[in-house]
Amino acid sequence: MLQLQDEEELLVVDAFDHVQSFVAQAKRAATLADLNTLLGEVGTSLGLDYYALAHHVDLGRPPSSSVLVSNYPIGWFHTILRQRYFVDDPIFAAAQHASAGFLWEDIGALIQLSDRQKRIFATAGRQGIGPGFTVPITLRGEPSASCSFAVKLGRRFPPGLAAVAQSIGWFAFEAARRLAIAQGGRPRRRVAPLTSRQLDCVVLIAKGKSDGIIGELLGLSRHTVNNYVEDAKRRHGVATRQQLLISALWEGQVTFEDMFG
Amino acid sequence: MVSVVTNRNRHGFEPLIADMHRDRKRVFVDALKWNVPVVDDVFEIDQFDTSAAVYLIDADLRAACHRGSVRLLPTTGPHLLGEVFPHLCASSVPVGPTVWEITRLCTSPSLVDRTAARDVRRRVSIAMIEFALLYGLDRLVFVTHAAWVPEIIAIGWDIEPLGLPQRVGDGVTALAINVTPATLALLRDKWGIAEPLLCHDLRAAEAA
Repeated sequence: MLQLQDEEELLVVDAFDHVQSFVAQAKRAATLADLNTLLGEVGTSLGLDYYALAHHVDLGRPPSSSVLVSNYPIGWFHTILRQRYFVDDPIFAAAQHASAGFLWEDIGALIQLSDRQKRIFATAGRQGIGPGFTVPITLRGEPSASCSFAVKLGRRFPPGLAAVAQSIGWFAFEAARRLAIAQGGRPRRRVAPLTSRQLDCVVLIAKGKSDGIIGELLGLSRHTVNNYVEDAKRRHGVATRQQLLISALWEGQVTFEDMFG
Repeated sequence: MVSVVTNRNRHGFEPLIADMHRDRKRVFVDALKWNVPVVDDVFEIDQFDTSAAVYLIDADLRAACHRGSVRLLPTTGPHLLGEVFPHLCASSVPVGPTVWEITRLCTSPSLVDRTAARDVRRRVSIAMIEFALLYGLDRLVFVTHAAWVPEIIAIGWDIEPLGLPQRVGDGVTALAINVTPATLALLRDKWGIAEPLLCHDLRAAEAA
């Protein structure tokens, strides 16, 4: 028993060496190709077959400067694009509800899977993708994002590697983000920021409040509330309040926590 | 301005320090539910709020009103990472005269909105780097929640993990920022703040 504990401890110390060396090299990576090489190398040495770093955007028409770095089988990519799986990808969806990394087998604690989401998992399995671990990346002002590691179907996700994957995921994503911005050329879609009053209104709309109630809560007239919301819609270039909520979430101007916390 | 409050000049800042401890209680105990000591039901004060601690406080000095602050501790003495979280470091806890620890970075819940809170957090962060450069520090270490790590890393400064994240609540981890003059240039440029923020004047404190 003592022996086993010692071995586990040795394993973790060794694993952190991989993290440190990855972090040092990822900082110096000059291109996304360099980063792909580093991720492949660290994956091989840790027994992680697949990695996928992505902003949760329309992967068919990704906005410039968005991150997509992965070594998933090409067949799986084709399926994702053909079926538009990125729209309700269960991993993307769960990542938005997680504050720290999660094993895919525990996804039920974060979201209730729809039938289509169960099919997405099954299809990924048929493409050879087995158990995995995902690190959520939430940055204000950017679409939500994540960094996942997975093993081939039939293998176990290496026990004890969750923390390693979490740490590598954080720094890998930042390296990818830095390089994507540097290589992106055109700036990403930019939405004018909302005023703090407008953000208050958006959050209260999400909570189902009427303009009258929002006005009472914020000490404003119903008319002023309506003007704020109309102006916010213009800033986002959307026609409805529902679209405004989605767009504000997408842009990271408000979070699920603000709306439902 | 962000005032440097040390054991030597704290007599000029007593109401402000009390306000800081009051806000710290509202943030860390009431909102974040940390299990940390509370004094007289309203002040969050722990075993590291000692004469060795240096506070950088962004404040309305006339009203003695705390807007945001951070606590800095020399790692040559007792500090959070060394005493409470040494297991978050894969090897020994980094200590030395040029390594200080950041704790209790917070903004006042009384600020009008999130943009104001963000601006105060930025000012305190820049002041922290100014302090590090003035005092010849090259490393700032800290423990933080896993959920906050992406945002902290995305600032773009030279930052590295000290060990693997561990499960305490949603997870905590220890990180180190390597400080150089380039760090200050990066933050000033990124956040559009050109002028020095650190206020290191005892007389200003006494006038307040």
